[in-house]
Amino acid sequence: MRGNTTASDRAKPHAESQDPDTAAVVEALRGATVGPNDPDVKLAQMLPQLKEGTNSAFSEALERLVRNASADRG
Amino acid sequence: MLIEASPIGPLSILPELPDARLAMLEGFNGIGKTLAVRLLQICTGDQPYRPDTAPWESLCEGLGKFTVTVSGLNGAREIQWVADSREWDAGSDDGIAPPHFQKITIDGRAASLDEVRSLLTVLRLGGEQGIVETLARLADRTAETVRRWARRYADQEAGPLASMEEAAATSVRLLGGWSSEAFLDLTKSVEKAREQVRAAEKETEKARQRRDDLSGALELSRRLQEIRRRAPELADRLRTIDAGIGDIQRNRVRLQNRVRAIAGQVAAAQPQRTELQNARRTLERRRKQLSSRLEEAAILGSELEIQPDDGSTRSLMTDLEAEIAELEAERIRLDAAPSMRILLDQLTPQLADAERQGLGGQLAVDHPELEWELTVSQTRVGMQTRRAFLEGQPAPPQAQEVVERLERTHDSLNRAASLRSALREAERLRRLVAQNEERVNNALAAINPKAVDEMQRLEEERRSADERLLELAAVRAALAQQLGPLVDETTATALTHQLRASLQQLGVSEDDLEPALAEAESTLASSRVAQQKAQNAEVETARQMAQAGAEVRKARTALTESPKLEWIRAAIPSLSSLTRSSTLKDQLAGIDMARECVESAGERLGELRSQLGAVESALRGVGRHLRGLDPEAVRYLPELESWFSERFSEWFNTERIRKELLPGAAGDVKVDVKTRDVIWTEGGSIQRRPLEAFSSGEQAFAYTRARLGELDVEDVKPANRLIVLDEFGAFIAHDRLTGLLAYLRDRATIHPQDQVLVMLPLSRDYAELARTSIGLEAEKFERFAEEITFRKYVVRVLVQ
Repeated sequence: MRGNTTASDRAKPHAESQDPDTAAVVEALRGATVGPNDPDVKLAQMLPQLKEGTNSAFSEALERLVRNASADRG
Repeated sequence: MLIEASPIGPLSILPELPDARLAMLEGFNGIGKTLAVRLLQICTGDQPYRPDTAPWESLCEGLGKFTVTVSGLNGAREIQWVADSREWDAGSDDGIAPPHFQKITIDGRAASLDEVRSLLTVLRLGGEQGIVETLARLADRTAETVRRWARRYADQEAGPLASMEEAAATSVRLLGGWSSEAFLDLTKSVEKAREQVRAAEKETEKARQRRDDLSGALELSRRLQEIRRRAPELADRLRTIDAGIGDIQRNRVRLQNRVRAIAGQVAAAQPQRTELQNARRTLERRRKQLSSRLEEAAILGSELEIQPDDGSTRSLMTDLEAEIAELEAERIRLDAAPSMRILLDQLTPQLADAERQGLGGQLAVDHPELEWELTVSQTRVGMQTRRAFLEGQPAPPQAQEVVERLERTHDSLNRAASLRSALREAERLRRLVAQNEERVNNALAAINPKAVDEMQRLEEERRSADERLLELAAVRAALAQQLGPLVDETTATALTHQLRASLQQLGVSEDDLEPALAEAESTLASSRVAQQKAQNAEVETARQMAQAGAEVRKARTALTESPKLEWIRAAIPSLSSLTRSSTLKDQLAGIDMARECVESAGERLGELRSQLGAVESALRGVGRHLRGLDPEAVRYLPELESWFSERFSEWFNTERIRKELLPGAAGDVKVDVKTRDVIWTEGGSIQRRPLEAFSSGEQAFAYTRARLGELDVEDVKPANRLIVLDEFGAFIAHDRLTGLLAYLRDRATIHPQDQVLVMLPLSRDYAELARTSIGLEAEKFERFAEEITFRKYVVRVLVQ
C-alpha cells in the first residue's frame, strides 16, 4: 500500500521538532520515495508523537488515517 | 570535558579534552586519546564499537567505575554521567544493549539519553577510514538508525505502531464479520435452500401420488379378485335375505289386514279408532327410525370390523384411546416442536404481562450449576426466539408416519364414537317402540275387548315379524357395506376397465403391482428423507439469516453509537446517515465502508513496518555495494543509491572539495553510487574516476573534508557538537595538514555550535625544536615539551 504522502508531507513541516533519529529516518524514507511504492513518510513522522500515547491519541491518529482512506474511496 | 576514572584493567584514558572551538592534541600512542573520545560517544548515546569484539569487551571489563563531566555547553551548564563499565552488556550479533548509566544529570537534574543527545553529540572521524569506507559507514549508520527507530516505534509487539494496529483490529472486531457480499451470499443460500425444499416437496408429492395410485390400483385389483371370489356367494346371501324380507313383509301385511278386519267388526267410537290409528302411525315412524339407526350401526360395525353392540364398541374405544396415547407419546419423542410451540405460546404472554407490571428486570431463571441468570425480559426474548425457530420446523419422516397413524386412529375412534351414539339412539328408539306397542294394545282393547286376545296374538306375531325384519335389514346393510357397489356385474366390469386404465397409466402389470408398490413406498421414504434434509437446511439457513441480521444490527449499533468507534464516525461523516431504521442493505454498506477504511489504515500501518525493514536492508545494501559486495537487497535499493548519489554529489560540489580534489572540474560533479564512480567535466570532456581513487594518501585531506561536509548538511543539529579528527597523521602529509587546519578555522566561524579537536600522534621532538628555534617560537616549543613531559600530550588551541 502506498503511503498517503503529499507535497505538503514532503515539505518537512516539523523537522526542527523531530529527534535526530526520527529526522534521519524521515530523510532516508524520503530518499526511497520516487514512485507508487513510496515509504509512508507522513506516518513515520506521526509515530514518535504517539510514543507515550493514550487510547484517545491512537484513535485520533487512526481517525486521520481513516479519513484519508475514506477520501481515497470517495 | 573531564574524565575521572581509575581503570581496573590495563587501560589508559585521557583525563581531559580541551574546551575550544578548534584545538589540536598531539600525544604519545597508548595514552587513551581514542578511548576517551569513544567513551564520550557512548555517553552521548552512540555506539562506536561492534558487538562481540575484543576492544568492546576490553572496555567493559577494564574501565570499571567512572565519571564524565562536560561543562560550558550551549543550553546547559554541565552534563554528568556516572557508570560502571562492568555492568555493560558484552553484546551479541543482534547488537549491544544500550549501556546502563547509574546516573545522568543535566545541571544536576536527572536526564535521559535523548535529552543528552539533544544537547550534545560526539563524532569521531577516523583517519584510517577511506572515502569508500566512510560513505559505506554512513549508509550503515543510517541503516542502524532506521533499525533502532523501527524497534522503538514500529515494533510488532509494543510501541505506537503496534498499539494503533491493535486499536484498528479491535475496532474491526466490533464491526462484526458480515459484509454486503457475505450477506448476499447467505441470502442466495437461503433462496437456494427454499428452492431445494420446493423441489424436494414436489418430488415427495410425485412419489406419494405414485404410491397412492399404485395403492389404489392394488386395492382395486384386490377388490376385483374379492368380487370374483366372493360376489356370487354374497349375492346369493343377499337374495336369500331379500326373499326372507319379502316373505316377512307380505306376512306382516296379511297380519295387519287381519287385525284391521277384526277391529272393523266391532262398532267402536270414532275417538277410539282415531287413537288406534295414531298409535299405529307413531309406532311405524319409530320402527323406521329404529331400522335406520340399526342399519347405520351395522355399517359402522362392519367398517370397524366389530359386532355392532355396546360392549364391543366400548372395548374398541378403550383400545383406540390407549393406542392414541401411545402414538402421541411417540410423536412427542420424535418431534417435540409442536408441543414446545404450544408450551412457549402459553408462557410468553405471562412473561409479557409480568414485564408490563415492571418485573422485566427481575431474575426469572437462576441455574446454580451453570451459573446462568436470566431476567424476566431475557427469558421472554429467549422464548420468543426459540418459538420463532420452532415455527415451520419440519417433522422428521418417522414422526410423519406416526402422525398419519394417529390421524387414522383418531378417525377410527370418531367412528366408534358415532357407532356408540347410534347404538344408544337405537336403544332409545327401542324403548319408544315398546311404549308405542303398549299404546296400540291399549287402543285395541278399548275398541274390541272380546277380540283383544286374538288381536293381541296377531299384533304379537306382527311384532315378531317386524323384529325379524329389523334384524334382516341390519344384516343386509352390513353385507351391502362389505360388497359396496361391487355386487352387480356392471360395476365389476366398469372397475375392470378402471384398473386396466390405471395399470396402463402407471406402466405396470397387475402381477407387478405389489413389488411396484413396495418400490414406490421406498422411493417415497427416500423422498421424505431428502425433503427432511432440505427442510433442515432451509431452517438452518433461515436461522443463520436471522443470526446474521442480528449481528449486522449489533455492528451497526456499535458503529453509530459506541464511544469506542466515535473516531470512525468522525473520520467518515457519511456514516451519520445510518440509523436504526436504515435498511439492512444500507447498514451493511456503512459497515463495509467503515471496515474497509479501517482495514486500509491497518494495512498502511503494517506496510510501514515492512517499508522500514526494506529501507534498512537497502541502506545496508548500499554499504555493501560501496564496498564491492553483493547488495543482497532489491526493494528501494535503486532509489536509495540514487539518494546517496545526490548526497555524495553535494559534498563533492562544495567549493573547497572541488578546489582540493577536482580543481579542474567544470560544472557539476556527480557521484554515481551504482557504478561507484565520480564523474565531472574537465577540459570539455567528461571524466570518470572510481571512488576508491580518492582514498589514497594524497587525497586523504579531501575526503576528510568530505566527511566534515556530511556533518554540515545535517538538518537537525544539537546545541553542541564535538567533532574529533583522529588518527590523521599517518594519512595526511604535513603540508596538507596546514590546509586542513585552515579549512577548519574557516568552518569554525560558520558552525559556532561545533568544537573540533584534531588528535595526532606525537611526531615531533618539541624539546629539540625549542633548542633550534629563537624568540617566541622557542618559548612555545619549550612549553610544549614541558607539557609532554608532564602529561604525555600537548594541546594547541587554534580557535578559542
